[in-house]
Amino acid sequence: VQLYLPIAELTINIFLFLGIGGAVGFLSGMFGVGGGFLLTPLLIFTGIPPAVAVATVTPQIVASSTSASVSYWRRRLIDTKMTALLASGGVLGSALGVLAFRALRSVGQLDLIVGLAYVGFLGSIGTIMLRESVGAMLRARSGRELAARRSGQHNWIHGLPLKTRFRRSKLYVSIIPVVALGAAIGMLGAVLGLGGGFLMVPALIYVLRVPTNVVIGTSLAYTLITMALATVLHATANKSVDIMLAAILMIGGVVGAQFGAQVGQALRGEQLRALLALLVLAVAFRVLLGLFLPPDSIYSLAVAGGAR
Amino acid sequence: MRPLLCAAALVLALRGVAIGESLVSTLSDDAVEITSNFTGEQIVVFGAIRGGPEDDPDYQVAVVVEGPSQDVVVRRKQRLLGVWLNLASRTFATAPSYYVLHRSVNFADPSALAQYRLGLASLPFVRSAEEDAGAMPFAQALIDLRSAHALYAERDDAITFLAPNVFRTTFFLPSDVPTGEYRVSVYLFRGEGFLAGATETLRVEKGGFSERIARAADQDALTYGLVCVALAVFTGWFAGVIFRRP
Repeated sequence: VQLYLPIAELTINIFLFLGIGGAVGFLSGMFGVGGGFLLTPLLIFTGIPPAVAVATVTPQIVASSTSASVSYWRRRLIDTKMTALLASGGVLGSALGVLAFRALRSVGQLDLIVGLAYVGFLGSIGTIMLRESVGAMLRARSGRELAARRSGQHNWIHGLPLKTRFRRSKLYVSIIPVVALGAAIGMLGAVLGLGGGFLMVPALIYVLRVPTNVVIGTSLAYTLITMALATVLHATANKSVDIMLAAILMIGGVVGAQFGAQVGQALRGEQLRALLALLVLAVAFRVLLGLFLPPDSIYSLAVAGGAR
Repeated sequence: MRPLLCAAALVLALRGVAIGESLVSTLSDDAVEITSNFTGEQIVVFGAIRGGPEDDPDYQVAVVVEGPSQDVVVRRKQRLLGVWLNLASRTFATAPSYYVLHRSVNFADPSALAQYRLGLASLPFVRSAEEDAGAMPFAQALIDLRSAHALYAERDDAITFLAPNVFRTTFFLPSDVPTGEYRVSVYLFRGEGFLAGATETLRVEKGGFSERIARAADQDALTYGLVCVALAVFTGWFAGVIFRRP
């Protein structure tokens, strides 16, 4: 069935995009990530104008993080105070990101910056995750005990002023790194069309030393708030959110996520992390190829003032 | 000098009315509505030649459909340290968003139409690029990229004569056709000499649900953005409810 997208201004096959939404939803449900890092490049690859792709992925991430947040909320696995502080930084970061997105697009360097950022972030996170998870698998096989979380250790982050207590995370840290982290990931998310969960989760664990059980819920709630804001900002500043495309992707995504979550529960944590690391590295490699391989046409067009 | 020219023009015009041909043309539709199931649309242009010999086999016809013009930035990627990036660009004002020329097969020299400023090579942005040597590859790239999307074309086998003085031609507007006011111009020639012309307008606009969404996104962007968020939250929440496991 063909459907005309009123903002992207082209006609698509509904089933193709339900399938893309479903496949990305399956993977995001399986690995507990938003899936923006997969969805945005896929949409661009299928011919959706990049500006529309980045802006339209934001409501899709809102939908997937809402359905996951609900279950974490019920199980009281969200640190609301930390979410609020992260999100207050995220508001600032998203606004800067949407402005940066517009500026980069007008000078024609959006593709390059997005490509380099994808390669840099996905490449490094994927490598770290792969090393960690393979290491964990080897240790599990050799039967050695896993090292306990070094919760008592402090780093320079814990020397900053404006300290406050986070009850659910059982932490007493400065609000400065929390707000800064929210701002940095919010900006990246708005420019790159991803929720940033795969950056937020390790940052909360390794930088702020948030206990693992509240990390995912807190990261999801943060993602929900910043991506909701990014949707409104993209809609008002760039007018490039396509609600029809978003609706198709959401429906595919939330259904796919349910099946993905079932598969995910059947796998061990380190196996999941190794698979996710391979997936992240594959996307980074594909984007890297795109930067170095000769393009189909060295010329590209942009209509002044258009969303495309 | 000036009154003399006017008088000469008047005489020529009167002669044209007296013995020359005139052209009547019409379109299959005077508006194209882009609705939710739009996959492109065919527009048929009909023309009839009046006032001349009815069985003259030497009539030559050219039909141009031209979309609203845009300012287009053409960027060129170059390799820098192995990475392809946009390094050079040219901006062309008034490039038509759609330009398709159909001409009958009996033009002895198709390039003769250039003297009437017809054809892709005669578009204003191409002619302005000719004055600036560096701009020509960019103008050519603009033509090539739009041709690849069927937005620009020149065809010389697309006009069907139903009778020596009646003809028809079909244009296709692809699904990603830009909206706006299109001009459909029909030109009649004999021996590459201009005889008569006629112009119709064609509106291409979003209709129905597509139009309402596009208008909301443009004119009431804040509400539109909030509706997108509400839809997303509802979809996510609803999925969480219906798939809730015991």
